[in-house]
Amino acid sequence: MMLRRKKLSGDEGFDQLQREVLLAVKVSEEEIEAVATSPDLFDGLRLRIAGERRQRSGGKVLADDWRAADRAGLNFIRALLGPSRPPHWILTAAAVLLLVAVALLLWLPKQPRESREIAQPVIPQTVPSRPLDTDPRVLPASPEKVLDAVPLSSKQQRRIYRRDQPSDNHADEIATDFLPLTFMADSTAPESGHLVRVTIPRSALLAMGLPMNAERAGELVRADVFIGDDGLARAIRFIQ
Amino acid sequence: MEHCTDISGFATAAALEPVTHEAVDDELVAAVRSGDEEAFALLFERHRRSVTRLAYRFFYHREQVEDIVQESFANAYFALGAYRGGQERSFIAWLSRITVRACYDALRRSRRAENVMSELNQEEEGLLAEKLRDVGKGSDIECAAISRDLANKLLQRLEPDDRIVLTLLSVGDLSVAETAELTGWSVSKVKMRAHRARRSLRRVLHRFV
Repeated sequence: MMLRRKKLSGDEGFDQLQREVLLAVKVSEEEIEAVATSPDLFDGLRLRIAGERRQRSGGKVLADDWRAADRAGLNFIRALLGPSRPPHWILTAAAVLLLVAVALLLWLPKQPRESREIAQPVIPQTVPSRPLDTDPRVLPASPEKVLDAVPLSSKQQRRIYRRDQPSDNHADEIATDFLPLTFMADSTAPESGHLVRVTIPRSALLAMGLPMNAERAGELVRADVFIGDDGLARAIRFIQ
Repeated sequence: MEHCTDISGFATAAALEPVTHEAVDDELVAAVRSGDEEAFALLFERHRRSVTRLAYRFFYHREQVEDIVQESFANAYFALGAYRGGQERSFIAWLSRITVRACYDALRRSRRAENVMSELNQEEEGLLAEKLRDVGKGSDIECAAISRDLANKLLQRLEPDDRIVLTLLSVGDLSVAETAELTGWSVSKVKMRAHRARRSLRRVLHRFV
């Protein structure tokens, strides 16, 4: 009983304190009057309203611009479609055509790249014109550098060869250096030429003055033949 | 009929202000709608004390109160199109609702800002504990050392919802129905919030005993 009375009095104390804390935030009428009659209060309000109005009108102008653009776009579409509403089948056909066009656009850019990759090894390549070096063994392996050769050490040649190897599916090919097929003076050297990838029997090597193993005469070998503008084969390299 | 007395928290305000009539407010609102800026100045003149008084219930610093007053009137200015006139509720009741909403938003913002100034220092804690011990001896809190600042700091520890309800019910002397109208909440929500708010405040006070 004593405990309960004590608890009650404690609760009452807290309740009273709560009320007093809440009442303590009340301010006097003089303070309210001082703030309410402050001349700055209405000036600040007018500034705030003006700022807000500017902000709202700016947003409204922007929204109006968008709405006008939408209307213009819709009018353009309506003008294209004409005054009467087109039948459903026309719209459906247009949608199908649009889809086909998008699909073609997505598919077409890939196709030439693939054909280029396939055709690259067999299409003859134009080599910039430059007189052939007297020693064809120093010709670099890359077709572009066939006529651009300067005497280099074998190590340097290998380095150039590695650097010039394409990074596509021909990267696993091994090419020898170009071997000269004819001995001609510099003055009669071709100005430019083509590189042609061929597959020939080993027996054909004899005709080019190259040594051949008679036991493997029937086998085929792949090679790049450098043909000058005069139509003569000038050099050959073997591909593995 | 003075509609200010409908909200009992503003009963004292009605005594200070000149005689107001709903019709006058409605006429002024109509004038503002038609572009008369002076009419809005008159509306401000008529109700600024009520709004200031209400804002002072929730905020302690004068700058905050001025900010709330300006925000409330600015919001009212741009929402005048939605004011239905005396048929539904008076202008002051409508404006009070806007003010309470502004106070509520400001309380939520200040709560997020984690005001360090709301922490009690050792001296204030000791003062509060002393007052708690003396409360049963019939001491007059108004004359005691619990200042408004201390009370404000204590109330800042409450959730904004709790503080809104407690202040309107206990400080503004509003009924549950009036509080519900001002906050836009249902009567049952106001009752539930009031119960929770009192419990929360008691917990806060218990910390200092």
